[in-house]
Order: sequence, then structure tokens, then C-alpha cells
Amino acid sequence: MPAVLEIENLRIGWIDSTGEHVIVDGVNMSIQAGEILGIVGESGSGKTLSMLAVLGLLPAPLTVLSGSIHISGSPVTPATAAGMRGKRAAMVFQDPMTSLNPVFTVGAQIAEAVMLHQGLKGRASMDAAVDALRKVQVPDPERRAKQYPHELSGGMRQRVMIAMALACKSEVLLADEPTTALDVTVQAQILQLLRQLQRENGMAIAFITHDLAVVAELCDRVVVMYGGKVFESTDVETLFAKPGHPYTQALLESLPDRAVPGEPLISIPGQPPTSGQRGTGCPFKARCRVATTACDAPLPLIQLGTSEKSQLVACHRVSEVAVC
Amino acid sequence: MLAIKDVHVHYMVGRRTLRAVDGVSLEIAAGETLGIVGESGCGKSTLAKAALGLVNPVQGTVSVDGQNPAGLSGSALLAFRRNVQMVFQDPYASLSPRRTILQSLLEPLEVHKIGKDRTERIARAEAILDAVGLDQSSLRRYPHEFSGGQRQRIGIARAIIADPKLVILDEPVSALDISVRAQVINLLADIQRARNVGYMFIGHDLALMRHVTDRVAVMYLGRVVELGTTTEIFDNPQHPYTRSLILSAPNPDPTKRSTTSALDGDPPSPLDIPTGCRFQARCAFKSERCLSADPALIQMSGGQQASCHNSEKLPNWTAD
Repeated sequence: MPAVLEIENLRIGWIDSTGEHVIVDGVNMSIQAGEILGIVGESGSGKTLSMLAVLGLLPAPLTVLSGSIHISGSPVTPATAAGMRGKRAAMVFQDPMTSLNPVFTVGAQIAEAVMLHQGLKGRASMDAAVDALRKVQVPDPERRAKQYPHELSGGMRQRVMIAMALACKSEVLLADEPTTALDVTVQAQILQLLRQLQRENGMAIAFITHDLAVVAELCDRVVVMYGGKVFESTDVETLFAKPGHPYTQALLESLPDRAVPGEPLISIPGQPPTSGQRGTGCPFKARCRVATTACDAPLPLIQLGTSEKSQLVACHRVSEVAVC
Repeated sequence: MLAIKDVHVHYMVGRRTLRAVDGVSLEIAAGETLGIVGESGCGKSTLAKAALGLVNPVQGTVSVDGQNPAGLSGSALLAFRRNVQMVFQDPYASLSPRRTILQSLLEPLEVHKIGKDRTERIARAEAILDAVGLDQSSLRRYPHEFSGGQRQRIGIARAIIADPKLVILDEPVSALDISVRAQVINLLADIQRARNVGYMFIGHDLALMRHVTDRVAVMYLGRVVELGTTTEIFDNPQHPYTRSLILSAPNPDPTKRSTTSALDGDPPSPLDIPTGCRFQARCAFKSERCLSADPALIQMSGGQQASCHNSEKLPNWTAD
């Protein structure tokens, strides 16, 4: 059975008279049905652009330079992306208020998507909308469907966005920091809802975040991105127990949970690079404690562990860091 | 140093009264960090505004070193404001894009007439930039030339350049990239040690709060519901709401996943405060009494103060 989402060697950038400018460089990832993949990265790491490419929504002049994207075996191309968006792949953004239309009721907005993608008409589409709201545990869904986005709380609006994906029977849900703007108590409710949808509907979910604690709570596998490249790709237990990349290790060490009380946090020097500052080789080398001149060469992809629990690490110095 | 006594701040929304802060008393000593945690709408930002003298309480007093901004005007109010400064969540929105860093740093010195001439003020700006770990060439640059972490260093420099006694930190690292947060947190700790400044640290990342604070106030719908040392609050929370907050926080350990969400529902609106205990609608331990009687903040045997009728009956707390 093919993966629900398969991204191979994806390169994103723009082309002008001076040549290719690469922003996202060689991304590989796949998500199976019923799996939650965490995509961890900072601003500028390329995590959001990779997901926008899946939907065919890259902002001009950015374009897919090379590589392929498949949803359940069907290729996503500029010609097919519009037909698949919303139907086979749906996206939930950080701020649901900017994704919902303020002048229509939420029920009407879900129903519209159902009419477009499921071919249902009139009453049936509204019933499907109410049903979807019930499935995402919106209390009193009949009444809520008749309300406008401003009448709902942030958590409820985010449930509406998820309900829309559910009503359209999307195979993969791309969630871009969907809980970052929510209170921690409401975040816990949304994470639990996503886990339930994954279990009951076999939905494949790509969960973009910068919060490692949320990854630990929710995800099955994790892809760590930095400076437009995938640095590490493994299952969630291995990532937290035996991180392979020096960047992942440094991030985990800097968490306040792992700090010694009264001692300073273990910090990473410097700033993440902007796309113009990456240079050749590893984009993390200027901040890395084990970097050498070898890190100027193109990144290798090294497999650690067994084939069942494979851990892919893009680092020249992986033999140095694997021991610690 | 900072003393907030029975402060009430109300806003009018149409003809209804929104009780944003509804009877809060807190103190912050020099060199101390008090953490304020709570969901949106709990009144933490309004409390910060009251401490800055930006809103006037309808009841109660705010004072810094014995000075109350409510009775002040003109130069006396200006002198008060010098003592309390703020670092905002989004460092981009809080620096003027048209001013160089030098201009932004000189402004507080000019307003408060610190330094005898421009040369002395520039020397002071150079020194503060050094203290926050930026090099001198930054002075002639503009905010857009810096990354988020560097901009927050500039925001911190501007807050401390006039030597305030208290700095209000409103989610100072939430908008920063994860790989630079630890640097900024360590910088804030260094500054506090060097200058003995008090911090009011508003935040929602409980793991971070546990690391950076000395004491914590947990707020719910305009009230402090639990107040104690960081150890008391995190090791033995006595209010059901504090417990729910701690249990809701994601744990960066995939082997310790929580299976249930700790708290149902959204935080209620401060326009519509329930009778009795404010937390009763979401509380798993409520009794008959909680529906009618509003619990006071009282001393607990664990050392902290909490406002719960049933705190004696809560099960023993285990962190996992």
C-alpha cells in the first residue's frame, strides 16, 4: 500500500537570470494512513513551504524546482494540485480566524466545502457539516453550525477547521502550528482530538510545530528541519532518547525541563540563518559544537539503527556525536 | 518593592462591567522573579498595565517603593514610570522601524533626563548594548536588520537602560525561534543578578516558568487562585486549577503521554463571572458549597496560599 503522503527529493526555490535559488533543498518524507508525522523546525527551516507545495499553494516566484509529491500514489503537479486541495489534502493554519470567512456561518462554510468536494446538495451538505462538528466534539453542533466565526472561541474555531477536513474525507491533514495560538488547556483538548481522529478515521496527519513537547505528546514519527534541509528523520521515542543530529541534541538540551535548577539553560550560540546566509554544506555548521572543515561539503544521509527503527541523520560528524 | 493591594480594574463593555482584575494582592521584592500564569482572559495583561500605571484601578493601590501612580501627574508620574519598564512579546512590533537602535535607546534617557549630555548618553547606550551581548556597530542599524532574538536583546536593552526597579516581561521568548530562547532567558537572569531588578514574568510555558521564577501566582478570571514559591506550586499544587494547568502542559518525553485532557471547556468570559467559586463550572472536585460561596485565598499547610473550599480533600499530588 503506498504512503498517503510521499515527498521525494523536493527542492523549492526560484529561478532568475542568475540561475536557481534554492530555499528548500532535498526534502524526503512519507506518512502512512493512521500516522502522525511531526515536522519540527524554526522560522525559515522550510517546513511550511514544503506543506504549501503539497497543496500547490507556493507563493510566486517560488516553485517546485525538482522532486515529486504523491498523495496515495497520485502525483501532485501544478495541473492536479487544485483538484486535490481541500479534497484529498486539507490544511489547518495557526490562526483559524484568517482561514474562516467572517460573514458566513461556520456550518455554511463546512457545507460549501462538502458540496464542492463530496457532491452533496442543500440539506444533505448541512447535515454533513453538523455531523462533522459533532465528530470534533463541538458541543451542541446544530446551534454552533448557525454561528459566525467571531462567536466561537479560538479552540472552537480550530475544531471547525478540522471538521472541514473531516467532512471532505481528506486523506491527509496538514496542520501548521494549529495549537500555538491556543491556551495550554485548550491545546491539550485539540491534541487529544487529533489523536482520536487518527485512531478512528485512519487519517494521516502532518503536524508542523516548533514545540518539542507537543511532538512528544502527539507524534509517531518526526522530521527535523533546519535551513531548508531535513536534518533527522526517525520515530519519536528514538528522537528523544537518542537524537542523532547535533542540532537535535542541542535543542533537547536547551529545554527548561532538562535544566539543572539554578543553573543557566544550555544555549545554542548564534541565530538561525536566513536563506541568503546558508553558504555551502551544512547550514548549522556556524553554530555547531562539533563542526569541522568537513562540514563545508554537501550533507551526507547516514542511517543509524536497525531497519525497523531506522534513524536517518544528515551530518558529517554523526560518528562523533552518536557516542554521547 | 512592588506592592499591589486589593486591586480591581474594571472596563465598561457597552453597559456591562468587565471585571478584568477583581481583587488581586501581590508583592515583588528587588531581585525577585514572580511568575504570572493563567489562560487568556484571566487578567494577567491588565494586571501588568496596572503595575505600569497605564490603567487606574477602581479600587486598591499599586505602589513601587511606596509611590502610587494614581495620585501622580507631570514630572512625578514620569519619575514613577522610569521605575517600571516592559519587555514585549513581539520585539518587531515594539521597536520603531524608522529609528536606528541608537535613537531607540537614547529616547528613554532623554525623556528621563539621564546623563548630562549626548556624549554621556551615547556612552550609556554603548554600555547597555554590550550588556545584552550585541556589538557596537548595531547602534547605527535599523530593527529590520536584526533577527528576532537580536531584536529581543534590543528590547531588553531599552527596558533596562533607565535603571528601572521592576521589569514586566510579557511572554518575552514565546515569539522567538526555539534555538535562541535559552540565550535570551540566560541573558535575563544575568541582568537580574547584576542589577538586582525585580521581574514580573507573564508566561504560559510552565516548564520555563518553573525554571525562571522564584514565586508563582496562578490567575483565573481576575483573581489569584494560588500563590506560593515555585517549588510549592509545582511540587504540591493545592488548587484544582493549578493542577489542571500543570497536567495540560505537554511533556517532552514520549514515554509519559497523558491519556486524558485535564480540563474541559474554554475559559469562561470575564463578562460573565459565575457565582460562588469562579472555577466551579470546570472543577472536578466541586461540592455544594462551591456553587454559592466564593472561596478566599487562605494559607495552606504546604506553605502557599490557595482559594479552594476542598483543598483538604484533594488527592495527594503526584507529578507523573
